[in-house]
Amino acid sequence: MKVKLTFLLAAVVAMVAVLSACGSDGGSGGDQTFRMNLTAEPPTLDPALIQDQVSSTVMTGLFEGLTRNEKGETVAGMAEKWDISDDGKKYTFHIRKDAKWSNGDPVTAHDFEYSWKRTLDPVMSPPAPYAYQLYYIKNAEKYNTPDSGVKVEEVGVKALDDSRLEVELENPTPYFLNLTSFYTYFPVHKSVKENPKWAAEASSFVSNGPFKLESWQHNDSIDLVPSENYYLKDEIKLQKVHFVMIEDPNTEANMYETGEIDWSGLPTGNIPTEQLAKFLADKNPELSAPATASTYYYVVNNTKKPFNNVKVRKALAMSIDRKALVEKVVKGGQTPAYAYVPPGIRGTDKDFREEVDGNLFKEDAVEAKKLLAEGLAEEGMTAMPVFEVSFNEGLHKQVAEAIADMWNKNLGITVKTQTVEWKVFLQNRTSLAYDIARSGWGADYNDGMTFLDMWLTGGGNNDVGFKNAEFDKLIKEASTTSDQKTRVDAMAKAEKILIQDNMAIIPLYYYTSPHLVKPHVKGIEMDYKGDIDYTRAYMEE
Amino acid sequence: MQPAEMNTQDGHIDSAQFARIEKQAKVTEVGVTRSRSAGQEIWYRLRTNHWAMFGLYVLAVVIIMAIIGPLISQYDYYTTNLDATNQAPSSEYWFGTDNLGRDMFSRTWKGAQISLTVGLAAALADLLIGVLMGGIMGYFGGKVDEFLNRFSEVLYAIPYLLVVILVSVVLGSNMWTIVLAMSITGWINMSWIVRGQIMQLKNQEYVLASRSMGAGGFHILLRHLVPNSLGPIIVTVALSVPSAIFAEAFLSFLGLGVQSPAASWGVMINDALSSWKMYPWQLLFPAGMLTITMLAFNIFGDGLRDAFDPKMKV
Amino acid sequence: MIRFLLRKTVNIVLSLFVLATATFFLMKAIPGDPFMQEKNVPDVVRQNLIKFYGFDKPMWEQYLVYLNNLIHLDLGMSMRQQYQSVSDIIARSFTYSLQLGLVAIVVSIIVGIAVGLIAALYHRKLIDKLAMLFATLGIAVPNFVLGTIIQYYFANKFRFFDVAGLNDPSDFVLPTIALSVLPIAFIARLTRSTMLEVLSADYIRTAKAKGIGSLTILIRHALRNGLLPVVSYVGPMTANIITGSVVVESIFGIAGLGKFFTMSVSNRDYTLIMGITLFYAAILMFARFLTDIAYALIDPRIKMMKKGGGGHAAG
Repeated sequence: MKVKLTFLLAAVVAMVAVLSACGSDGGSGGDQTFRMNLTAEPPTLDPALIQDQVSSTVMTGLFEGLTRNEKGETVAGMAEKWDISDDGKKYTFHIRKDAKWSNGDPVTAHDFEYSWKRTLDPVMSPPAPYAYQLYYIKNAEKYNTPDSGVKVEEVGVKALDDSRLEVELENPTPYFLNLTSFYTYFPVHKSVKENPKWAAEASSFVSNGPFKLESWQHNDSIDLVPSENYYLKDEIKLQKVHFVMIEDPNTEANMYETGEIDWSGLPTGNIPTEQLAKFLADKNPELSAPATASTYYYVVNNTKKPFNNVKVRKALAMSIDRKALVEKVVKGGQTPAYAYVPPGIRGTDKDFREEVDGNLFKEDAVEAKKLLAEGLAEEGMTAMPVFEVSFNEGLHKQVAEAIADMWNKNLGITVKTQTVEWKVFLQNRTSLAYDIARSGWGADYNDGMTFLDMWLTGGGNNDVGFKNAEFDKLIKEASTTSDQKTRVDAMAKAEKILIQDNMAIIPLYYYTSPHLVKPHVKGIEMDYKGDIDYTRAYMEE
Repeated sequence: MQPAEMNTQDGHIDSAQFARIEKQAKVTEVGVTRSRSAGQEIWYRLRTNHWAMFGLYVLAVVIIMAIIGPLISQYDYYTTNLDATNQAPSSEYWFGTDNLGRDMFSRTWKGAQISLTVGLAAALADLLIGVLMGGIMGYFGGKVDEFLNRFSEVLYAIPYLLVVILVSVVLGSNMWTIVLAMSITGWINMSWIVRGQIMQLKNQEYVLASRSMGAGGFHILLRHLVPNSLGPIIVTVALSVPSAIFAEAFLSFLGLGVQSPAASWGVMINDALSSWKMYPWQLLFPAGMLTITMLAFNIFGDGLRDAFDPKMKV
Repeated sequence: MIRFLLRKTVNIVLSLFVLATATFFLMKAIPGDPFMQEKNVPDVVRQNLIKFYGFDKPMWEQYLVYLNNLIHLDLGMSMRQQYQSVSDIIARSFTYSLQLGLVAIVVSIIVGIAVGLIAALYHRKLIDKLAMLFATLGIAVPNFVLGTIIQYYFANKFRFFDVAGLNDPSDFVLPTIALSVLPIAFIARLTRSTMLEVLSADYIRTAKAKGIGSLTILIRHALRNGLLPVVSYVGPMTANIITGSVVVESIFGIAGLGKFFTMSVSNRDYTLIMGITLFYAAILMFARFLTDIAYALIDPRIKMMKKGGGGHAAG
């Protein structure tokens, strides 16, 4: 028996050695292939249905809108030029003649008209969740609302001929040009009418961008190869973009280390927190953590006693040590937030945050304790009741535990911290069934409005029950004028009401997008909101 | 009555042996006659098994430490110290600190409290329900078996996550709702194993004999069949404990965990996993304690089984 | 025999129906829906989605619609993975889970029984203690820890294997280890425990006394009778392992079915939840049916097809 066992063991070891010799090529090689992790399977690659980062990262390579972004500027894309009417409400785009689909068909103004109207169709199958990104267009929201009586012909987008697209807007929207580079504005090929499932398989996939979909191994990997019909195909150096879908951040870190991927971390991956902290401390040259236009904050239930009292909310906000929080807990190079609109958002001439003071409150534990006592007295309470901070799975737990302990030390109050299942958490937050909850918001477009209009009275994302007539008035003012100076002033005032006067939410920090990239990978751009453009990337020998 | 002994009497069944007499002079295989109750007999065998007693002592130490451990250290388990995060073990922090600078020594023993309570409570529930259900399925067979089989399969196949989310929403989160959520399906594995064992044992001669003498179903089940299935039962219980401990860690992501900042071993192990290369002690202490506890538990379980089954002495 | 099979099939179909009903109402009872995201969509869009998926209809009507589709073997389209049908998703990912699962099961059974047997034969000797130490470690060290650690050492540090994926035979090694350590440990303990009992039974002793060689005894008598609890465990274990493990698939980046189990619930992808649940249940019930047949084969005294109670089986 013993002899046999030894033999068996030897056989297994030998087999493992042989197998491992033929596997694992590992190294990165000199070929022009860029590999990164998406973490999960993209829910869809149909521009009309996308609403998430994973899908949009793949789409960046596959599609191109009327405009595209290059080094933070909006430059010509499918449209080579455009005219804007004096009132800022009518745009005429001129589609370039050499714009082609990956199957060789020309891209026309009709394609854009068809695509946008398809997205707005209330009975599209299934309906587009991000249809509201098109609501800037005249009658778009009405057409998207069933039984509104508005017909498809009344929607403000029309192809005058093959090369001219006329777009009418509801309001002058200074950032509309930038919006046309957003994925909801991407065109789809007319043939999708006949094949509703076109976007689910590589074989039926037609796109108009620098790359085309070569293969989609569902839940496993996606390969993009350059499109020979792309009008700037000479600019494209990569021979292949290879996306993998690895859920576990430790696995992703291992793959980056062994060279199985060239990019790790945001926008679609993750670097384990403690490793990230070490890379930052060591000044690892492969790591960068650029600021991203997103804010991490706590929502406070403004409708629940004693959180309905502004002094109580201020006391909570003022007794958190944000510097310690970002340096010792989150550890990704984030910056403490004392306002809501993050850096990276455009103002009049410069960054919004440079033009408008971002110190809307100060941390002061002594003052906070005084405010808390006053606030509680105003509510007829003698002591702060035990309350709960809720959050979903992830690093949020450490953040909440650290903050709970700060509140305990600074205010002498007891705080419970509770992880809640993702959708239950969302449901509780939306229906105001919480005390304090974790929240975060990232920019949809480069304007302060993407952060502020959500706090309108009764707004769909106003998860705190904030109601303020003056705030509503300022937002209306900012969204109906095209003068940028007036808009920025109004938004600055609105933000002051939201944070300084009311502390409706408790800002904690502004996000960064930490990522590792191999030194031989060049030419990948990350924009203000942390999206990446790898279409012009190349591998240095 | 010494149930295991029945097995050895294959072939020549003496009716006296099946009389319902609780205390009885025993003639054991080694031929020593003692006047002892069954409990004393088992305890004697256990006590003389040094290996098993070692396991018992280790378990006792872990349980005592779980109670007094958090009080020994000068640091409590919940106060963060952001200036002393991820400290290696030292004379100040005996087990080091975690990523929020909390004392790992206090946390490890606090975790022991939670994990052992949850693990043992869930295992006990599995044991009681599982053995009973498995016994009924296996012994009565036929339609009863068919029905309970299908019932347990349906229960087993209902997505567990849904059940857990529902329990957390309806009942909130505390130690006992966690045990409840785990017990809803936890017993099934045990019941299937017991069922298989009983189906085989019930055809043995001594059972037939006992039945022919008018012993009732439940009597036979509890007196003869279950005691003779103790081996697999103990092995399965020994599996239930760590699975419950890890299930608790998993449940904590779904809103059914122990209220933080208290953390169970499972949660501590899970949290430490992303940085185990840098701060191995954060993984080592909870995982090591869990392993030691499980080893002790299994050694003791083996001893217990042997004590119930005197033939093992040979 | 045919009547027996027919009755079993009817019972299984009936159970699946009960399961479908219970799961349907359970998943509708918990908070959340497929359209909820960090950023809420405007009400207009939300209403369009609710209408499209028929969530505005009364619950019983939704249930009947689902049941009707189910009877026509239509599991519907995923609500999360756009344009992908539930049956496609299951079929595709099951191929991965099945491949890996079968390897893991074979390894678990062979190694588990072998270790258990050796431990039982050398009861209380060093080799027994070592085997049981290994088995206890296998139970006490969870696969998410084991997977992470072996991946780091064997794929990252020593580079024996790829970190993730399931593309060539060597990719099976690490996930198989992570998947099978617990079943090996459990089967080994179970085998040892029952073998110890069987080996000390009279008929084995009699056989020994008659001078029959110990290997023959082992195979012909002891193993046969000692295997039943293992068989009880292997049935459901097979169903669990071939339908994929969330932990192992996520650590080793395998495109299997296990990941969808949790993902579909956290996305409230109702059709996918139902599809996977029913698929899993069908496999589980079939596996346990085979288990019962295996009982009868191993121990002829167990009559599976008998109708009556424990009453009158022959000795």
